[in-house]
Amino acid sequence: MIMASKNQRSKPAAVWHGVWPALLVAVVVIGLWYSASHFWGMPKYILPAPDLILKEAIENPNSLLRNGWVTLVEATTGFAVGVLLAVFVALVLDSWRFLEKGMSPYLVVGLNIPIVAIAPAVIIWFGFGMMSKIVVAAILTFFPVVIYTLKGLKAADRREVDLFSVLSASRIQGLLKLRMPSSLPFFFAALRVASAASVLAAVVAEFIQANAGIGYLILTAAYTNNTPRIWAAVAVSAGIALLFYWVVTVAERKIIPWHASVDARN
Amino acid sequence: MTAAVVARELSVTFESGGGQFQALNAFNLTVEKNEFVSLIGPSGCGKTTVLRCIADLISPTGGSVMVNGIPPRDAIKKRDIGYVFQSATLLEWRNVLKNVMLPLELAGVPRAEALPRAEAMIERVGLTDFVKNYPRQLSGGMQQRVAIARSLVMNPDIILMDEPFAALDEITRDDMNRWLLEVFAQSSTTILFVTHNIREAIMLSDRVVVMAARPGRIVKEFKVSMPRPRTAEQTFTDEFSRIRQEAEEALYGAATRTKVGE
Ligand SMILES: Nc1ncnc2c1ncn2[C@@H]1O[C@H](COP(=O)(O)OP(=O)(O)OP(=O)(O)O)[C@@H](O)[C@H]1O
Ligand SMILES: [Mg+2]
Repeated sequence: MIMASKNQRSKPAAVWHGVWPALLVAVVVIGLWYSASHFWGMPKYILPAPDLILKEAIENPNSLLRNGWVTLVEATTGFAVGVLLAVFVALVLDSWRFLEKGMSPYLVVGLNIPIVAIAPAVIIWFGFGMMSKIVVAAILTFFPVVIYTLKGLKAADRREVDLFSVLSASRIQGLLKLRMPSSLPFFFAALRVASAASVLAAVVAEFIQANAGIGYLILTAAYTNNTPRIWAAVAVSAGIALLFYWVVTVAERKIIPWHASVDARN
Repeated sequence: MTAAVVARELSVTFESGGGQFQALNAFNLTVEKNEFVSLIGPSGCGKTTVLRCIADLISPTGGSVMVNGIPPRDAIKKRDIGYVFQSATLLEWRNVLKNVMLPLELAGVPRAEALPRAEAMIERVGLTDFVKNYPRQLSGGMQQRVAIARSLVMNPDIILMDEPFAALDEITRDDMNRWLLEVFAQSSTTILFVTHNIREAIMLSDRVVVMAARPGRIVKEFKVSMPRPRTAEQTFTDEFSRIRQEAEEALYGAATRTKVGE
């Protein structure tokens, strides 16, 4: 990033240098997979050949796109709502020690709610449309973000707290200029967890009851034994989760370029 | 005229591991306005504890501290005190400029006025080429210089410095000493300076105060009357060697007494 990098490569060359090992792995795996299906007799119901999955995706793109879009909207909306709520609650609990003490055991319980257990109840409350999926995604986002952010708000170094005291900083200055910046690395770690969890939440909730979405598509494809379609849908959901992860990583790099974790990953 | 710092019968007791630990006992020190006083003493003798009492980071268990005739808390509120910590303590998300701007920001100084002040201060510590660098991109000595710039930027009456140059090599330390002498000569600040280095203490100070541990207390004081501006040649004067020898005796006496006491 800001520092002169050890080996000064041009930008495309540097990107290529970072990417080619992963590409090589992909080529080898897909090659083996292709051979297993076409030459070594692996049955289609176990895992259809890669080209069959691609063919399915190209021939029937509409249902993939439509259902993928539904899941994307559910997951992003749930994620956004969950994060906003979590930050708000974390700030409230942080400024009110008593409430925090009272709440923190239940936050841990909340963090450990199995999504499969909670989803049916949420669907009963909010119907089998998108709303219930958004709520499940929000719940799964909310708990890790609250817990990590609260932890982060207390992560300021003892000496930095002394510095602010010597500089006669007000409480609100301490929050804005010390405790909130120190919490950002924790916050982003939580976002990373939550970004994957919110996609998972939406898809699992769709399995339980839905009329659209990737989970719904997989379920209907399974009824008709359409394995290429199942795998095409799996690929789309993985793509959505990766997209999420990528957005969080880019935001982290932009917002906390000073943090060791960002520096190390570059 | 009231003294810059008056500590009377100061005592500090810490609760530690079930027992009590007396870090300071009957500590008496007066620092006059515009005086440069060094505190030296073995590790753990309570030097940092003295500074922390003056900066209202801890409340003494007994005795009192006054800063410019008012209690430390009020002096801190008036931003009369600058503090250079034993470790640089820079905020890792702020670059050099923003770290030096911090005290001005917290004091509500408008940016248009704060910026040139911070820049001038950074120039004085010789880091103008590094204003945009983050702390992790600086050497230990550079970080400490940023911390010093930050403590000076508010023009405080009194500066508390806790071993600011301990991490530096001999050459850089001499440089920084010369620089600090200049800063001290050009301003009307009072400096209370903690160090382990006797040479540094004598070169910089009007008075050198030697402490002993368990409990932390003052064992000896030396007045340094070598004229200012101080120069390296003065380290060859009789006064310098006399004070150095006596201070060393006091210091090692203090250290052995500590050991015997254990
Ligand atoms: N918060 C605390 N709780 C318990 N004991 C403490 C605390 N702070 C300091 N002490 C003890 O008080 C004594 C004096 O500590 P202090 O930091 O003032 O020493 P010092 O002279 O600055 O040492 P050094 O030269 O190593 O920095 C030490 O023995 C230390 O263990
Ligand atoms: Mg100390």
